[in-house]
Amino acid sequence: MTGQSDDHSDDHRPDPDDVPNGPELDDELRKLFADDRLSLPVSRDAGAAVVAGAQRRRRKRMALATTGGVLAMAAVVFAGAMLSGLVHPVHRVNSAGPVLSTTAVTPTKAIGPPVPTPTPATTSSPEVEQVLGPYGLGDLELGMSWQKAVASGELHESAPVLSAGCLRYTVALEPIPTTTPSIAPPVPVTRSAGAAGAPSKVAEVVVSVRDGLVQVIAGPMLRTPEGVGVGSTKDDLSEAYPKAALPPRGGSTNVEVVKNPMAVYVFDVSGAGTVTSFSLRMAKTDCLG
Amino acid sequence: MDSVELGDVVQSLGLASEDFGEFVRAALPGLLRYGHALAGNPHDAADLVQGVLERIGARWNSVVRRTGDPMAYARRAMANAHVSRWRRTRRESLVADLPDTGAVWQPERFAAEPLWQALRALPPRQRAVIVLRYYEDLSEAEIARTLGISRGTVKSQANKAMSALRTRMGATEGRDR
Repeated sequence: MTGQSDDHSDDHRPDPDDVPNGPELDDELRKLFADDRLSLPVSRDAGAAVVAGAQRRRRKRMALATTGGVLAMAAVVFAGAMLSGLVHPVHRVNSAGPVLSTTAVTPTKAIGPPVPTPTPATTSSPEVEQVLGPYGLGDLELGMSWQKAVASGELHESAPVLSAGCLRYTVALEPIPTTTPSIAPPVPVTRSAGAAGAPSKVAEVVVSVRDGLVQVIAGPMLRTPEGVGVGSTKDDLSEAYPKAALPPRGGSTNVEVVKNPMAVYVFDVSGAGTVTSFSLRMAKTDCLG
Repeated sequence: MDSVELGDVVQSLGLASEDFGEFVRAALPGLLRYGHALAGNPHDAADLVQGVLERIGARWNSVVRRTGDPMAYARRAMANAHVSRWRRTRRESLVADLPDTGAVWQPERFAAEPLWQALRALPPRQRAVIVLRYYEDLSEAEIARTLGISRGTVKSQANKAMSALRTRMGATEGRDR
């Protein structure tokens, strides 16, 4: 509430020009929201339920982000099993032990009978290659609203403001923490990638508050559907995209995305002729990262 | 809630950190209350809180590291989740102890408040703006940032909401405001 010093410093009130606004409604709203009856009783097992749910989501996300189909399938089944285990009223936290603690050890092994296919316990391997397709990266699609992108749970907050109205986030595979690290002291938000336990970065995305997700900047493990990625050569590039205008002394080149006229691939090519980075971008955007 | 037991569970899970369990325990009452204001009924409130907390817990370390304030982050996420209504399926509430606890909570009286009823009739975004303004005490600019909309939109949504509330209250109580 500080520092917003323009014409609406008392901006708890709607603009008086538009709606004649007696103070009564303001007061009544405040009174209502202060009412004790707005409070809800917290159930005894709420904490455990949330913690277990968080575990489940984490595993599911990692499964989806890594081995893809099979493991994802298992995670879904697993999630279902967890859910059904949890929705039965659990009266003591301890009694939830069997359900919960079996899940703790190794995500995939704990799944047990419901798993249709045995799945390797190995999760994130840096060799995993993913495709940055014409519409985006998995659930993160170009043009999706900022709210949806954030609600996807895929984004890590990174640099809060890229430019006015544009935010940049990291999309990452997080390593499963093995111990119980304490809360790191709040660090000023920077784009330091080297922090301890830093997730392995898959991509960065730029999200415009107005236009939604406008750019996916690929990390080294991503490729276009045509197989071009960081490290590809100029020849690879022109083979995959015959129309690409190759900058002779390095630089960046835009390539149209066949299936998505709204988007372009942008490749940065070094002087030596290799792709150093690339991204999928809305053809028109004010946010340039 | 028994903190020792919860702590044990969290540890036995080998979770991201026991701090998350601790955070949940401390944050739940406030978030449920806030969720109630946002969602307009206890079930959706519990759903909203649970969904958001689970997502935060799934990436707890990074939320803590990158935001420095998980509570504020949770509240923002809840406002957005409420607006975007991404939760299509309602599952049984695990978070709020809703049934059979009449001694603690008296839903019927509160639910009958005309202003509460009027609030419940607002579209989600208008309601979120009102809650952020009068419950969270955020400024117009802060609301705009939280919901990812322009200040102009915040203003127009607030105006629409206020006049709808006023109309409805007037109709309910038969008095002119």
